[in-house]
Amino acid sequence: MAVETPAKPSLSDKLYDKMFHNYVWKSIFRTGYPNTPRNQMLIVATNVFLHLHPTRLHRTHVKVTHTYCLGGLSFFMFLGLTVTGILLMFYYVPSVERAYLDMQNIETTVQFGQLMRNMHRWMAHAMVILVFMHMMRVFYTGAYKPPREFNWVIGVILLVLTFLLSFTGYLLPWDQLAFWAITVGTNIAGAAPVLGPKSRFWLLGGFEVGPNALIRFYTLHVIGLPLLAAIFMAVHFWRIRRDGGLARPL
Amino acid sequence: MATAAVARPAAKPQPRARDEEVLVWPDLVFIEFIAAMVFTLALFLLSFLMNAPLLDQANADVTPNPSKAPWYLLNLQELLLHMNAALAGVIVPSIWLVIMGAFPYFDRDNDGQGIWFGTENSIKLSIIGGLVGIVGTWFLILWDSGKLAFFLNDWFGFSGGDTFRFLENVRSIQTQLPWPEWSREITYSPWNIVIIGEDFQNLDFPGWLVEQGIPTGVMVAFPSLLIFALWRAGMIFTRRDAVVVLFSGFVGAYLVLTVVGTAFRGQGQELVFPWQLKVSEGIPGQH
Amino acid sequence: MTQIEQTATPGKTPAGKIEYVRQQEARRLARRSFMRVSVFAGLTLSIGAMAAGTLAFFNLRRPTGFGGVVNVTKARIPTAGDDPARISEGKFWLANLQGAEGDVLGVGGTGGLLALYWKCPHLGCTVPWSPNFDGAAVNFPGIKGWFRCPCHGSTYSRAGIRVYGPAPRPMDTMALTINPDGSLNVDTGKITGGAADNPLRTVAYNG
Repeated sequence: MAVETPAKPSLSDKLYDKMFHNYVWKSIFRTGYPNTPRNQMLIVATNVFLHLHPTRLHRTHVKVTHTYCLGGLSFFMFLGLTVTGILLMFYYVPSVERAYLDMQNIETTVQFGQLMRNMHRWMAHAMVILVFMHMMRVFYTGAYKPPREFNWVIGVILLVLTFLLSFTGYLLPWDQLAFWAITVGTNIAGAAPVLGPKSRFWLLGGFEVGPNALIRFYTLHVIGLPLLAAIFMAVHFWRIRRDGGLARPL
Repeated sequence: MATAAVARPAAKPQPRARDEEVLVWPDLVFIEFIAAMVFTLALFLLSFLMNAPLLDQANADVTPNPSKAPWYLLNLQELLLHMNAALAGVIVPSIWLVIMGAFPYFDRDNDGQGIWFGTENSIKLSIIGGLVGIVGTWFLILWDSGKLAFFLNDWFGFSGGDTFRFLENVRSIQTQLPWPEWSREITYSPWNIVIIGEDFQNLDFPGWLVEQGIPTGVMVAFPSLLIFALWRAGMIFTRRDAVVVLFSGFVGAYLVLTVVGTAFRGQGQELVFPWQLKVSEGIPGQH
Repeated sequence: MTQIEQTATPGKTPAGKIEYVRQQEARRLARRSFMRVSVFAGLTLSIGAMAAGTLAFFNLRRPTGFGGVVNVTKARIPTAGDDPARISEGKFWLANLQGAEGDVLGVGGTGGLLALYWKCPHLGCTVPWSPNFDGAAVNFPGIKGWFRCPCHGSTYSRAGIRVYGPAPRPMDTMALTINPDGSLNVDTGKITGGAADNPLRTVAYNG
């Protein structure tokens, strides 16, 4: 039998070497391609986005039927809504005179504008549903039990924030649907005993849905509530890790 | 091979936690990636097929009929039809959120976590709780909208006449019973207490009964009775079981309220079938 | 290894067995690297498509105002011989010349519509229409109404012909088409440098 000589590097091998085994690439990605257990753990531990995860976790937790990825997908919806929302902000002015015209402009004149608006709206609906389903998943798997009591409370707060985010965004198109939905919605808040009418007045900046309400809802929708939600999400994710990862039978 | 003179006890492999673990890359990261991709594609597809609604420009002088809140608040709007506005719109959801947040402080046993339906009867209890929530809420909505009395009369020819007219719906208790005049203004405080413009001195008892008393009673008594009955029936053993029934009942009721508010409420918030639901654009100048 | 050995029948010699295992392993690796390349190629493609879409989002499908096509309704078009109309959204003067009007150099203009970009070719000031300016001051006595730049006094006739001042050329013109309904489309993105033949660039209009 002939002695095997190592195969000559092909063109693609050389190209691969040039692309990934150079000084610049290695300064960005410290670890090599994650094809060995060592590299696979390193990439999770050293990457800022991945280090939300532990490097290894229990076998039962990677079963899709255990979580259905609902929490992660809720977060993914939040990210997607941030991206599409920022893009829509380029074309939208929250003034009573312009808001509706801007919506028409986004739908007719802006390239991919209709698509972007659709994405934002359906993602928002999806997020409300996903967050609720995530809550049901956590409840029925008993994942709220000690030591995760407080994380469940944060989850309830995040559910409320999701509703509020969706609700404040509902007014922005300034069409009949938006106007009357917010009128009905804030009337519900205004029905609160003692504090109701005053809190409705504060929320709307007047007795009726008008220019003040539009700018208030807009500011809450694009910065106030997302910031608050992001803070609570950070605590939520941090606590998952601190409380020992996903719940598991003892 | 059975020749070894001394049977050395074979080193039993100890189950180590490490053996049960998998690496996050690739086992978890790839699942998350695929889930994100599936959702991205599905939402793109949905966005290509369905446009977000955009009606006429907002006009404070023209009210569409029916006017509805966003769908996830329609459960509250539905609740508002049946009781005092403050109770339905603010107090009930607030108290429920506090109760829900307090679940882990009530059910402190850390047994049965991390698996679907941890306790023995969980699945049965969830189904019972959910069904009671769904059927009970439907029943109450049908009763309060007067449909129950209508069906009884229309289908079975059963009519209570004027004697039972007060049972037609909640508010007929106030209007159809001969309440004595004094009960409509019961003074419970010697002086008028005013808190931010609201008076607290007199109580309209029949009004209070149908707007606050009965609804609160129903919302407290039904779940309590259900949990008590299941406990006596030997299905509820732990606090976890009780919470499962309560939460499942909530999910059922929430679902029905949302669906009824979205698809079964037509013009003037009349109870109609979804295919009869029409929206009037509204007439200028008419509220 | 053991599994492969059990199922491997070809090659009676140990060397054959080793060769078979080696090929199996090579195939496995090839399949894996093919998958990896496909996944990353697909990922790059989809992210690229999304990035391109995002960039396209900043593009307007039908730009309006200056730079795009500006529509001038029939009511705004001046009648022949009238003062030029100021079309501010398109940054131009719409002149309706009567016969050889404005053709001060006599190049043979026959009248019609002319869209004159209102930016002075000299240093970019906005040129106003001065209806009472007498041509006598610029050696064209008898003609009233001139475009006169407030910055350096460049003076242009109704057809944008420069007759006085530091401007290097006559006023620039814009492409102009007449719609069947009598309105005009002026392509404000299509600007032609002004020249002595400005009066010949008119479009006849009988609306």
